[in-house]
Amino acid sequence: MRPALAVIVLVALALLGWLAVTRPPVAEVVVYSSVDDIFARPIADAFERATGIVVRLVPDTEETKSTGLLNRLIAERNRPLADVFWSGDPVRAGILKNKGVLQPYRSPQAQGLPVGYSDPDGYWTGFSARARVLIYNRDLVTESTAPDSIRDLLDERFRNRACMANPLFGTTSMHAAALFSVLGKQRASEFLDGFLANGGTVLSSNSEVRRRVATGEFALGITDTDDAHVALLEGQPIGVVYPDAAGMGTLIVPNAVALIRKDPNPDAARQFIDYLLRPETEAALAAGEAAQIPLRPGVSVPDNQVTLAQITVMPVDYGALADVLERISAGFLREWVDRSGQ
Amino acid sequence: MITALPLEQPGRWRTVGLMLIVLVAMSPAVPLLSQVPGMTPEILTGTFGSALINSLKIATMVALVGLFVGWPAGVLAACYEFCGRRVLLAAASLPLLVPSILWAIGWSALLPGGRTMEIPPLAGCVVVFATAAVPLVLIVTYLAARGLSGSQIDAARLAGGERCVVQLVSRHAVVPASIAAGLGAVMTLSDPGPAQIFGLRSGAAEILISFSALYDFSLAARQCLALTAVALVVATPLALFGGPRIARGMLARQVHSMHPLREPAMAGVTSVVLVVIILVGVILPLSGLIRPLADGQALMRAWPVVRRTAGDTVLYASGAGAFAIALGFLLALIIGRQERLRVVALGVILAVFALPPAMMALGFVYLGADAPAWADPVLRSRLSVCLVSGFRFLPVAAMIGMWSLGSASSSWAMVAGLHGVPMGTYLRRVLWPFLLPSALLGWMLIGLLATADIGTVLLLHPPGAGSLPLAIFTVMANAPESLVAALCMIYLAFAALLVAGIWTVAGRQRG
Amino acid sequence: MSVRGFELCSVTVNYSGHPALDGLSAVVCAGRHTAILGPSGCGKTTVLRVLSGLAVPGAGQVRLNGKVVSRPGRSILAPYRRGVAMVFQDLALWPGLSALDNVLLGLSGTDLRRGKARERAREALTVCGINHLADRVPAEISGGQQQRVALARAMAVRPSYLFLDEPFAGLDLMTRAGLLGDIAALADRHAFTIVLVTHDPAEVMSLCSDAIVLEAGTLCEFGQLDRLLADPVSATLRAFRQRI
Repeated sequence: MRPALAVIVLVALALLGWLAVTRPPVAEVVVYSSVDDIFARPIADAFERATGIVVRLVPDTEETKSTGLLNRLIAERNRPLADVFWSGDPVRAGILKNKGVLQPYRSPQAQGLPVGYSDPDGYWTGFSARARVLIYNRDLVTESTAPDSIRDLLDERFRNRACMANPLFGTTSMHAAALFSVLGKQRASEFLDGFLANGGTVLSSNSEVRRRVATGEFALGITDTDDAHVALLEGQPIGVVYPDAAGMGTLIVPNAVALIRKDPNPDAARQFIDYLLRPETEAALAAGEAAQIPLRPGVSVPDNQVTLAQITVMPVDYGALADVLERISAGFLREWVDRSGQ
Repeated sequence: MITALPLEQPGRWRTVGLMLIVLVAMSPAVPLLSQVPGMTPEILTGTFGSALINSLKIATMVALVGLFVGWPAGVLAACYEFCGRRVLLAAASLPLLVPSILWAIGWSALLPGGRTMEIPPLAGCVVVFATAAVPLVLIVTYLAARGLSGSQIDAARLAGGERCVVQLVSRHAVVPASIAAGLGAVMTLSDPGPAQIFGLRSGAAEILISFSALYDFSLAARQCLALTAVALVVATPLALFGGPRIARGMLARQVHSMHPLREPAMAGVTSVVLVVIILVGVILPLSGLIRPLADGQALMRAWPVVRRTAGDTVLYASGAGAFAIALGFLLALIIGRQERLRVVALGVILAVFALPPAMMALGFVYLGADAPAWADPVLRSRLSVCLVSGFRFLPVAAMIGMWSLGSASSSWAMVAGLHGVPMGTYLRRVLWPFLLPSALLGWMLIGLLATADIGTVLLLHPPGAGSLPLAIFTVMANAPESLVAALCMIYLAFAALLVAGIWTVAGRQRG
Repeated sequence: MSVRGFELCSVTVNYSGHPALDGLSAVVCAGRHTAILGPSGCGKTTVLRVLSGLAVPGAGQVRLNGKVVSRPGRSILAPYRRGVAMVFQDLALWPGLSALDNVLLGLSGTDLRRGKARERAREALTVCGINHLADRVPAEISGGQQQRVALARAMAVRPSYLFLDEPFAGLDLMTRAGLLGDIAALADRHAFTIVLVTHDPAEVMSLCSDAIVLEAGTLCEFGQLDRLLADPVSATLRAFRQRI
């Protein structure tokens, strides 16, 4: 037993030593990303190949699955590990701005990007977007009865057969904030209450919406374009609609990239942000599984993909959404989710 | 010179030691707990109150299912030998590795049309959580049962045959099994996953909302404290019942340990029980999880993820297990045979166990951020993940330690004291070899549990050092389901091999 | 005048609020093998523990050769410095160690160097007739052989007092008789005093010259055995006399 014990002790000490050792100095940039890992990692790998700067990508889970990265960023703000925050939507970046986690950076590569999708004070820059779309099960809904507006979620023909993700989290929360911003408190509240009154179901996440519409448990749902695209790639029987083309428009959800205050690798961080904001990156994100929508006009997209010009865009003040969300999360949305039973 | 005698004597050092260890284990949560300006009873009313009630219902039912399935299964598995017993035990342990939400997704995928909404939410949550609670109780029962001596089993067999043997072993193991069931129940209090899948509002989900939707750490901390207080109320009777009985000392004269018997009829029953547990708890949800796995391409695509994360996964599991066992066994040594201390310790650690992992992990992040850079090797490294995970599972380790130490004879330390054997020599030459098999199995068990704790890894891992379960959760939102299925399959296959290997080694160790 | 040997002076010991010994005063004289008798649960093992320093009195004192070695709540002289060795009721053999290692570890409290300690251990095993089992662990030997290992461990320290707590329980008659004889011979050769806790009259008669008789933690009678048996006061000794 003694030799075995000695070996175990030695191995344990070696492991402890390895555990505690900090990395040897190397050019690196630490990117906290709430963009889905399968979309973000190829971009990070390409940056690494192009610049030789190692990208330490820290991806996030869906917000309903864990206390996520945003909380880590907030807790680390006195001495952050992260250099860059790459968010799948601008609201998270707005929240971090309000909490003093970010510092402004206006990248030279942002030229050409519409300014309306970025923070007016320069704390985050919007690029490559998703859209909030309706998806319906083709086996349950014909072309003639397909929805064309988010108000169809309240329609009798979809009673007890419609779903959305929890509006306290993710892009659904951004959508709720956008509705309150665009429609006003009364009409937005009526919409959400109407959804529940029509037997609508609140699910845990956008991917759950995608899964359950695809299986036919629900006929109609609202989710993001990347969820819809993944379902189409898997051959699921779903149809996709960019809602309210004739009305208030479709909500565009741009990616947002931000520089962390007191970041440990400032030069590499700026290089990474510059890289993300290039037209080539938008093209890559459009061509990948995410099928994201370039915000910059003229960026090439695959043939069958929708461009920004083809969408009626919901007019939203992206810079104000974080404040709107903060207000409604603790108030109406919280109470609404309680009523939904989720 | 300090001899081994104080180990069998009361002393103030025990209370001090207990307090110190609990404080150390709780210390990561201090930065967040200190943000709580004041607790008011109102926090227990309204939405959070009703959510807590749901959580308590789930916890109670999970404890009952875990106990009444895991306990007899563990008894039978300890008593009867048959071909493939260790393989079945290893397979039955697998759910401990898997974050509960994956099992929930697996179950929901099995339903026709994925009609999760048609399952009563409470039943769905209980089934998913019980999938992990049953193996926890089974393993603990098995370990406890193996602590009986061969002569005790022989005496029972002579007195009344196999029925008497099963009764004896069941009675011997009921306290550790109950406490394991209690642990399994407490674990459900801090896990929001299944409740979200099945649409049930739970206390843990409310806390997650406070963290991840409202970013209100103060509210979340208050809710965590309220959850802990409720857990303390539930844990107290368990501690009062289990504390004094957690281990009856084995007479040192009886050193022939129990060996499972090859008895065809009972072996048949045992294998059927284990197979049913594996079928319901592992194969069915697993089949739902990996159903999308269509071809080898997904496996090829999964391989880079596995290669990138395998080392850190093993490291975090091993490290968490090692820290937990070291601290847990030290706590057990400090408590000794003092019944009152045992009751207090059990109650406190069960209540602390109810704290959501995010409390400890985020608190550690705060500590790391406020500390100087020279502290980074401890506060901001892979070590941090192992430390915080180890602290989280200290209650499991302490219970295994208490049970294990309780089955050591008090005479060993007394005769060592009489002969002037120094404390260190006694611990090294006598006690540690005796405890080693339990420590190894406890290390394995806690490593399994820690692997499934993605929340801690997400919040604490150094950039670029994530684990495989975390990678599964970060890709699953929009990765093709076949890729997620492939990652799950690789993860489980590797873990199953590891578990099987450890069961085999542990079995040989015991002889 | 101080007694050569152990003195219990109004010793009280409580376990969980119940008195195991209640104001006990008795003497174990050096050179006079003493039996501690009484019904089960009367405190016999507690007496051994108090004398050896493994338990401390709640009230009263324990003296050794006139010097106070235990006071209420304190053991003034450590157990391993009292010249006492003990064979416990459950033998207390350390399970993972071989017979030789059990005896060797038992020599930790002496100042012997490694080589000398090994020699002493071998000698003790030989004297107890089990040197051929030196490399076996307790699980691999019989009950009687385990007894001898426990005895060898006690003998190896060359004690002045050997405490035996029901050491022959569960052994067959032949083994018991053999061990009794060996212990008596060892006691003569090495001049140590035996303090024996037992229920067996034959063991008492073959080994002991004095007796301390307890009932419910209090002293009934003590003194020379043959004088006590001539006119027994306690139920225990009356029962003893009938069986002799």
